[in-house]
Amino acid sequence: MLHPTRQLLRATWKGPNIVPLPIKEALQMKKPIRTQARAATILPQFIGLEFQIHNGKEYIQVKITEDMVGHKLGEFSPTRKPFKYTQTKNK
Amino acid sequence: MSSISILGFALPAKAQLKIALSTKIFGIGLHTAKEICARSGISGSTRVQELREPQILTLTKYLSTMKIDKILKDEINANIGKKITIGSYQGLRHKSGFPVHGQRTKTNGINAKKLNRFPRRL
Repeated sequence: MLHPTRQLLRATWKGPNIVPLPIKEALQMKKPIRTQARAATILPQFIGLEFQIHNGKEYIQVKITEDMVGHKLGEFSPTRKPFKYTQTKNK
Repeated sequence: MSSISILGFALPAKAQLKIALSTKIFGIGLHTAKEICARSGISGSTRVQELREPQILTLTKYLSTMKIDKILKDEINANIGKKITIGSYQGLRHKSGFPVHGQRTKTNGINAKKLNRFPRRL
């Protein structure tokens, strides 16, 4: 299950979940950061960067904007395919 | 039924103040209604028609500082809209009218279908 942001449930003394990510390199090389750390909190330093977030199968490219700060990376790469009804042609 | 207007809300004249506030104004329940009455120095069980002019003035003064009705509704919709525009999982669920907090959708989820539309009808 994809967990929503749980700011209220996390103990305050822990602070945000900070995962070491190659931010400096990404800023210099202007390359997207490929990561599997879906639980990493989005920090203000991430704004404007491109992330490729793993959803269990493939990496989904997301550009971080100002409003996303405080959410987790995983919220922006859905793990399930939305259901689509397809009509069967050959009966 | 006659009604008395306070800050544009038509409160039924014969109802108790706390009841009138909690039933007619979006964003105020019984608990907040009691608090409003206490803070403006009016007994909650006074009828709306028995309110005197200065009492109505203090009430309107207190109510105008609060986040109620249209301001509150706009804020709720803005919060949902923000989730949708940033494309988070909760926004996706709101957009497609499914339960947001991980409930099952094999059965149930009827309330979500009704409510989780955008803009939300409140």
